[in-house]
Amino acid sequence: MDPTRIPLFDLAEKRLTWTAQRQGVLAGNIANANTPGYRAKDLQSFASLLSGGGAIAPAQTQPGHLSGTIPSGVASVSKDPPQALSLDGNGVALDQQLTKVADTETTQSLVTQIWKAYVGMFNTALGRPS
Amino acid sequence: MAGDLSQTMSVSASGMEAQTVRLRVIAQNIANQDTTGTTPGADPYRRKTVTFETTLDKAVGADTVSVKNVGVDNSDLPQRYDPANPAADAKGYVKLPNVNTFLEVMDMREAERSYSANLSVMQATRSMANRTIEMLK
Amino acid sequence: MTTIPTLVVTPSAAADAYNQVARGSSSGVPGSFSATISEAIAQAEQTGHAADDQSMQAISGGGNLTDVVTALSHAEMTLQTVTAIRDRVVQAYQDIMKMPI
Repeated sequence: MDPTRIPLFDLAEKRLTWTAQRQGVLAGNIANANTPGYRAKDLQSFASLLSGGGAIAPAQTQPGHLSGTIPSGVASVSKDPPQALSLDGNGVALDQQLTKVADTETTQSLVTQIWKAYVGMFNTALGRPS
Repeated sequence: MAGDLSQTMSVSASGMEAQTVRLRVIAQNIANQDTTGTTPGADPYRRKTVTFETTLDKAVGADTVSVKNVGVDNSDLPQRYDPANPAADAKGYVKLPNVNTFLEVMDMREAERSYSANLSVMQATRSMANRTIEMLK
Repeated sequence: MTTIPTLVVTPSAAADAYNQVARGSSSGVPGSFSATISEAIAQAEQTGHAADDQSMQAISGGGNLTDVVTALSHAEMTLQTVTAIRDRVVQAYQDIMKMPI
């Protein structure tokens, strides 16, 4: 067992990457809230990313090809299901997007705090001043 | 890779920039709502419009926005009977700008709302970046 | 003339006493020091596991926020307590070892 690769920290890293990526997608939605024909996008949920559904999976064009056993870890971006469109075809609801942004920020805050708590506990056990 | 979150901030910055242009055009429209022509039969100020377009930034998977063009609203110009006006045509009618103040003010409110939404996202992104750096402390 | 009583401790006796404590073998007296330490360590382990479970859940997106925070706080406090005890035991051992024979 590699003591530097602790599962909890690995998971926290993945989650933080996910939140940073999602923030980018949501920022794009809000910036394009008035662009004609623009549809809101979102990142796939973290749960589905963990269960192996990444953006890049090996293509199986022959029966003998292996399917990907290692999740790619890159979340895929997809368009939100069509809701009420405005006259110019824009599909961005600002309130909904802002709620998602707040949600993403809260998640990132929680994960960084958990990370810091664990680093603190490691320091305590090792006898270092934290 | 200094990038993920700071690229997101440039997306929000582009949104704020675009809404600023929109506000400027609205202000121009409202300021010129009574600007008629100076010679007989001349056209008055025509309402300006702003069109946005998306530019996909493949690295982030996020879309920045920019102003595609500032166009002119070619709808019909209202007319008013005013023979004494220098812009009155042969029949004494003056063409007026096609600016509806009420609509412009509504548009302005929307632009403000979009602007502050983009600003909120930028602030949220900055907090996230700060918190990430604080993890080291 | 009164004689000042001297305390005679041999290094082997000190090491033996420390071993006893470390092994957790108590003299059978309830509330003995070694029993307290064993209990504290077991509690630290328990709260640590609970905190791990809650944290993994919270990071994955599930779980109750209050539960996570309380579990983590418990784990931190217990760990700090156990660490403080450990430090004192080590310190006491070193003190004993420093005593002149």
